[in-house]
Amino acid sequence: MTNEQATRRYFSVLIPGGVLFLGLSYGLKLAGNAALLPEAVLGGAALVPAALLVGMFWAHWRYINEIDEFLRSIQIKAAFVGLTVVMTIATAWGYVELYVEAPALSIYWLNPIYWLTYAVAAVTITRRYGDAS
Amino acid sequence: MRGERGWSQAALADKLGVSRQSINAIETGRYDPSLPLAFRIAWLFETPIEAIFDGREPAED
Repeated sequence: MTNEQATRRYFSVLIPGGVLFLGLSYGLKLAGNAALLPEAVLGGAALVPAALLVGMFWAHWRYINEIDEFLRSIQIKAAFVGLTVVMTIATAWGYVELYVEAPALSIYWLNPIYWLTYAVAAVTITRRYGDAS
Repeated sequence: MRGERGWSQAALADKLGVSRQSINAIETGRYDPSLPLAFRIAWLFETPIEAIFDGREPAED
């Protein structure tokens, strides 16, 4: 499999997965606010975005294994940046909530924050190391 | 060496089964290839590996 094929296959999972995650998250919020579903059903439905999340990470894992070593190094660095940002926000906000009357941060935001920071880092690192001649 | 053979970065990348970005990064000293890739490069150019990768940092422009 070429890098281009691997990239196409990766985005064919990542983009629909991300859109579905956001759509389902928003739908669940609306359903919860309007009390449209019984609590047990809502609780079960709330696990669907998490399943999508697992699928997105599985696609990323497969992608990292399929591309060449230099592109893999970029992906791993970008994923590490995303992980660092998410862990820092989660930890810092957790302590702030504990000791100061800060508004609660819904932890489902950590997933979009991860993918956003990972994407920005991947583009930045690729421009810095991969495309400059 | 690539230029002497008239190969573009993309052509060399195809021969080695890697991305063009990888070739660019190796040529500009931004990335050190793994030992298996370094050997593939040496075999392709029919040159001893130490003649291509001598371990020295690339000169600053």
